[in-house]
Amino acid sequence: MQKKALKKFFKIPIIVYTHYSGGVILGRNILRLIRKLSDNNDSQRRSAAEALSKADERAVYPLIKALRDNNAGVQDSAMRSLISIGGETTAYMVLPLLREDSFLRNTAMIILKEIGYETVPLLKHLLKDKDDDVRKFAIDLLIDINHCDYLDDLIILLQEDKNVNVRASATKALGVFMYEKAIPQLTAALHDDEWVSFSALEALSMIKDESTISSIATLLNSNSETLRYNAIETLGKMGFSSSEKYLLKHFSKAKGYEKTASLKSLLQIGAVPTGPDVKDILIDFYINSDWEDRLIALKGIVGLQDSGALPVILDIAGSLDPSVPNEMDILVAIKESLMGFDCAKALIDILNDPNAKYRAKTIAIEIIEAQNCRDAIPHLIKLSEINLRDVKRASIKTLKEINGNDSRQLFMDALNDEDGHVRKHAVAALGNIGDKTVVKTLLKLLNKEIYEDVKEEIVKAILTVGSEKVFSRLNEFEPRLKEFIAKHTTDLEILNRLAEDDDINVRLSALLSFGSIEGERASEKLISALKDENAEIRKTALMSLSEQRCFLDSIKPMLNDSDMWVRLYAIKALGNSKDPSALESIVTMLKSSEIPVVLSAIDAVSLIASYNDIDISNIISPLLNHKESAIRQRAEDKMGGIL
Amino acid sequence: MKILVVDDCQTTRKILGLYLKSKGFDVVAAENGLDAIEKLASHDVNLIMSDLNMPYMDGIELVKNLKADPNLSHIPILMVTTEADPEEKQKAMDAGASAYLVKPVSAETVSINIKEILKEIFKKGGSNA
Amino acid sequence: MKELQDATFKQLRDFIYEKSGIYIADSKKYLLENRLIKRIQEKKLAGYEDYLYLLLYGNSTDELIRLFDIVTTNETFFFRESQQLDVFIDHLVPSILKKQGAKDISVWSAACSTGEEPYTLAMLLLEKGYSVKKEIVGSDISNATLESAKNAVYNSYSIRNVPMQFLKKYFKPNGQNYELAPMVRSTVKFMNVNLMDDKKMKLVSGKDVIFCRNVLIYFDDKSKKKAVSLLYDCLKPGGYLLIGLSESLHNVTRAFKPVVINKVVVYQRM
Repeated sequence: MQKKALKKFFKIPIIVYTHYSGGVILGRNILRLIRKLSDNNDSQRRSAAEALSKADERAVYPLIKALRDNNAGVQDSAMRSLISIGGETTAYMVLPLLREDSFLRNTAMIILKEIGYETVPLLKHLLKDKDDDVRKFAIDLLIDINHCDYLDDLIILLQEDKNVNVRASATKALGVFMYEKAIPQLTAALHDDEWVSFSALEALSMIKDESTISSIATLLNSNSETLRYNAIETLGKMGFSSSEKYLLKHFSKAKGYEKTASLKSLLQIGAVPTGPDVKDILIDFYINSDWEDRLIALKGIVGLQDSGALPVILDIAGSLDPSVPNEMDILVAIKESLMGFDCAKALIDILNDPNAKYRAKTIAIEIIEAQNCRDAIPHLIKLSEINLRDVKRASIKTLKEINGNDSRQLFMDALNDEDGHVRKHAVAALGNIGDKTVVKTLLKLLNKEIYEDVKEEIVKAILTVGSEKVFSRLNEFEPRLKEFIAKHTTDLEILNRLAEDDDINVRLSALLSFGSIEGERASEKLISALKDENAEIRKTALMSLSEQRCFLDSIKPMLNDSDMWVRLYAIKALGNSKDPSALESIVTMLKSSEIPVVLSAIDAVSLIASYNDIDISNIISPLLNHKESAIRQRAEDKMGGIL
Repeated sequence: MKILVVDDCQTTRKILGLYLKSKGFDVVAAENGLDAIEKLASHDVNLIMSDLNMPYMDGIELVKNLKADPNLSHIPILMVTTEADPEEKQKAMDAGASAYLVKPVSAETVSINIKEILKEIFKKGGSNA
Repeated sequence: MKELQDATFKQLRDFIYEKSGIYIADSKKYLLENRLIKRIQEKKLAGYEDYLYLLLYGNSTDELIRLFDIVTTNETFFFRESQQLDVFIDHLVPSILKKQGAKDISVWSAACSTGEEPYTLAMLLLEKGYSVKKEIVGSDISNATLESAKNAVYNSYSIRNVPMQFLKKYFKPNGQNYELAPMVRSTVKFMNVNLMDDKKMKLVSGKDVIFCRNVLIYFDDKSKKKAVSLLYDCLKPGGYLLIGLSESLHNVTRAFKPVVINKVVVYQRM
């Protein structure tokens, strides 16, 4: 109102703030862009349509017209911009398109769905529309938007609408919204037209009420193959063991894919039927299904301990590509299922099968490792000598985990392998074996190794076998190696020298290691590092002191350090001390203008308070109104803990 | 024999898929016209059953696109839709659809129509391009 | 190091999503956890929360660039998904050259990782002996992989799909590795481009063909729609977009016309 009055009075364009946060378009620009929607050039029209995504309701009607543009790119931008503008007004103006031709109708559906909640109130009266299709579209939109606050109206449609498709959609919607009040009507709908009945089964499978099982089971005797099949699936999806008797009966008399479906549903409810043909049906089911069903079949195969099925299982699993995100998840699920499978011999057979896929062998090796299957060792040794990248890597890794001493020579040979991963596992294995005679060889390797992670592993291995003193000749090693030594050694003498090294990263690594060493010498070093001119050093010293929980007097002055990160770690260290005398100093940091400092201070204060049973609500509650949302959120979380 | 079922509603895809499987057809499913074309790239299909109302590419646009592609124009398309409007039916038939069924349809109706269409093609001398 | 807490994970996830469009699902939390360990240790930080602070309040874009290196998965190889490459060289390129009076061709390999894809395209064009000006650009969000791409030295895994005639002509074995011939290297330029960065993407235009394969799988629907819309604008009218064989645009956009050639779908800007 104020805007209108101002505009009238001053006759200047008022800046229009839009829904899009941070987006501002001047009024005259909107008009210019709207005119550009009629440009002769496709790209100009498209860029205008796109730019109008930051406009207000004035752009809605022109954009709706642009949905009819003869260029698909312009249509697409117009659609996206209408979605971006959003809001109830846009939804209201788009709604009439539901009565237009199929292209506009379908585009309107996308827009209304994306606008979401604000569309929902506008759909209520459409449920009573004269046009069957409009009623159906309205219900479909409610399903897509996944929100409806007038579900009783849908029950009425289910019971009374003359059009089968509308009743079917209403049925589906009641299931999607899991409206338990509709259960009696949904159960009755099981005997409506086949399409409605089908939707009723789906709806009941979503609501998952055990009392409906017997009604659903009546459809196992339906004349319609489709309904029988869907009833079987529904019982499986619902997961109740009370379905077992119905499914077992049906399994015994059904044939073909109904039999397989019954088996699948039994597995889903946790029952594994027995019988002469079950194993074969399961393997068949596994081979011919998609991955979701295969994982179900796998449960059954493992339940029956059918190790004869393993080659097929791994052969198909071997075609999965772990670099594709979804396929990696499936591989993980398969391996988890197979952990319960006592199948050592079958796994070994796969290792030795020249026709088995490489990935199948790799999976078999991973399971062998998880099951600690030592019988496989000689076979793994053989495989580790063949040059198949993934198989070799997996073999060496597993031998490292489960074998150790017996394969010492194999690991020694593997130190010269061209694959860095193989070298790394071999080094780690030799470290685990603990034989000091390998140190000389490892040092030689250290000199020519190109990969950092392998170098680090070598350093670790040498330390593990107890040969720290090798590293006392520190000037022979390059800085990166000294960093690794600092990281992994517990020898105080070596650490002290590394803490004085010329290279800053080496000094930092040494300081970090001091954090896990008890004793005066270690803490002395750290405290003196608090006065270092380098902020990184001061910060790291604080991080390590934080593990030690004392020396408050040395740490408190660091709260005034010039470097924010140093102050942050000082706060953490004081908090970790859990000493109430540190509270006062930390509380002053809550006034800082730096967000991470305040967040750390809140954490530190809360830690000390909870350890000492101190009430800090009067300290934290003012922060609930802080201008920064991250700080308000953290304060809220902590207040929740207090209350 | 493989049939492509195109419908944005999962329930419909499921029902039609079951009808077809029970009659011995292999089934591939797609969510809209664009998905259908993507699936046609990797599946050899003998017939398409398509809804009319779908986002991103509706049934009529799908029919037009397929009829304009010499490699795909031979595949018959059977519309299966809730649209009972005779104008919509005319548009679909004009675009090149072979038949037009209004939902809900029974398994029998679907089967009879498919058989009729395939019989016609066989009479004309084979469907494969 | 303490394990990655859910609250920290969500904030990291949101940050990565906002900056790159890559969405890390809950089930992939372990992947992120593993990949960040090394970086956190390198920065001498105490844990994941400290790393988050560094990203959110740290003032430098350097760490963001390193984060992209860490988060993008990059295993690829030469002549990947060769059916699409065949369609490119046998159908798309001739049709493009016919249209433009055979003057030039501009190809972009978006999210090219260590460079195998743009170099493959370069070799295909060189092998055909087209004398027109060839502009091939490879781009990625990760500086580390771009450096590796410019280096153009590859291991046996990368070259495993290379046809023998190409291997002999365009690669030189060097110990365990293979060096790409200078004539191929010089045909490809590399750039750092974030597919979610409106400003930068709008600077790219006039492409005849864009390859954006096996990258959109990391995006959620919203990011995919944005990236694809930006890619559309980078094409010339009549230009083509190719995405991975197992990928789809069917719930993403209607702006492109799908064209099926030899069982490969290419998306044409009309």
